[in-house]
Amino acid sequence: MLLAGKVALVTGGNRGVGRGISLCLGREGADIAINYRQGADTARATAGDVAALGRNARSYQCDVSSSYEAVAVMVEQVITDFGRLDILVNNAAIMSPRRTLHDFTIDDFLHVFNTNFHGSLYCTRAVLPHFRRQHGGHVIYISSSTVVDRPGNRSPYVASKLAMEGLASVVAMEELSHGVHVNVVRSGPVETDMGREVFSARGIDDVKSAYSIAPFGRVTQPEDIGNTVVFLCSEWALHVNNAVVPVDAGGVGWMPARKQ
Amino acid sequence: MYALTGRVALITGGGRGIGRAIALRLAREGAAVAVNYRQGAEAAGATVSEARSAGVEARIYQCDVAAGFEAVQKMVDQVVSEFGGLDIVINNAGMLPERRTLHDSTTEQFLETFDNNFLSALHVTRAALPHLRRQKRGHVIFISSTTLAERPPYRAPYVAGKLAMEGLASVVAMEELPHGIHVNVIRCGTVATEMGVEMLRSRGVDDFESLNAVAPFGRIIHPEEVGNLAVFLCSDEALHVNNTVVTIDGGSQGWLPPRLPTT
Repeated sequence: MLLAGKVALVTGGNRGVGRGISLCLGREGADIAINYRQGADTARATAGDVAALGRNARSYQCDVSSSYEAVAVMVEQVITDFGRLDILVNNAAIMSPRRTLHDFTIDDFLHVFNTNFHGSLYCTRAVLPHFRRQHGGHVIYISSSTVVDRPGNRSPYVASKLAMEGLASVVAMEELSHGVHVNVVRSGPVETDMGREVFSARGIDDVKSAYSIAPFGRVTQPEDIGNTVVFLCSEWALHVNNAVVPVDAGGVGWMPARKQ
Repeated sequence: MYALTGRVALITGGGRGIGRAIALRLAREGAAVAVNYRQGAEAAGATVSEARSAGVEARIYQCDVAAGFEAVQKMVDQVVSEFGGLDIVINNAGMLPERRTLHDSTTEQFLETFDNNFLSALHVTRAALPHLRRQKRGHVIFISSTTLAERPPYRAPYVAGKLAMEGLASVVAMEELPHGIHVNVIRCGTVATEMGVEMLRSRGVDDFESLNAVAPFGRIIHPEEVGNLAVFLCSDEALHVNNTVVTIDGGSQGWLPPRLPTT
């Protein structure tokens, strides 16, 4: 196992891509702190599935975008409960309504932007002192291929993901002398609840029906993202740092165009 | 995780340095390896015997892959007939030119290095594609360099050759999407190989081990790490990692001493 004895905190780790990441990290030996905002039942289910792999798993209710103080309390609690923390996966995010900036109120825009960006900012800031103290750690940001697709609509989502990538690239340089790895995984549309909405915007209502035209025989799964996170956090990838790794099967060119 | 049992890999420039490390890492995960080399039969033979001790089939193939398409095609066809297939192509063969400005180079000198870095990858990829398409599966990996992003002076044919290679990779990746072929680029920083030592000499570093004290994560990059990344990219775990450029440079090469001016 590549991550035996490590402890990972996965934000939004209860559902979708976050659940896939939690399970992949768990399968490789890491104990998992599953953060969730809503959905205690799904958090319990994911924790149960990780525990079934023989790992220690606990869930932590916290809206990571709500305040730095709440996040700092959660991170300290995780370290107290598990005795250590090695990996932070900034995964929690919400999708933006499909709307142009012209049609957004500033409040609606900032709701999406702040939920996505502040969450990763607060979590990163909260783990850094701990990672510096132990002279090691991995911070992973789950970004989105929409930052290169340049779609119309959903600007707060795209802006929040790029802000996150900008944060990642600077923090990577700042933490170089502290042994902390910082990497970005740029995910294409994944077969999850959030992904289904993205596929639907392209006229694909039944995701399974897209398997026959998707590259490599299927649509991207949460485990595809999870496996890449595992690799980046492993000793195998010691010098893979400050990198952006897309997991999108080569792009979304095979998908029907977005509906206007 | 990362099992490559039963796959066949062709590694250009596989006798030494990064190519050798990739060949051995692929072999350790169960892939049979065809080790291409231009010069240095002894080193290529050593790579092959070490790969065999990992329990896989391994052979050497002498060919200057930049010299001409016909010779490359012959080699690739021979690999396919001797191993019964071809699944993985590692375009690794390359050459570091002397430190010279374009102003001070003849176009012949420029093109010799450029061709060595670019045509080699073009020929091998073109020759392998029909086989990979027939299998509806395959991996092509291009070994590039972070010098592209650093934009140093000197050695223009190396930088131009690597960028041309990345351009080729990004287009071929899209063209082969319906054929199940993965195309990815690994962009390496300075690695502890003979070529890496040569690069460090131009930064006034004669003993590269002395850098371990200041390098990110406690040591300079070892060629096996590039092998690890190649293994990951060719594995089922990376099914949807495609048409990417993955950098392996420890996060930055900015901590290295600056390059010396040429005299």
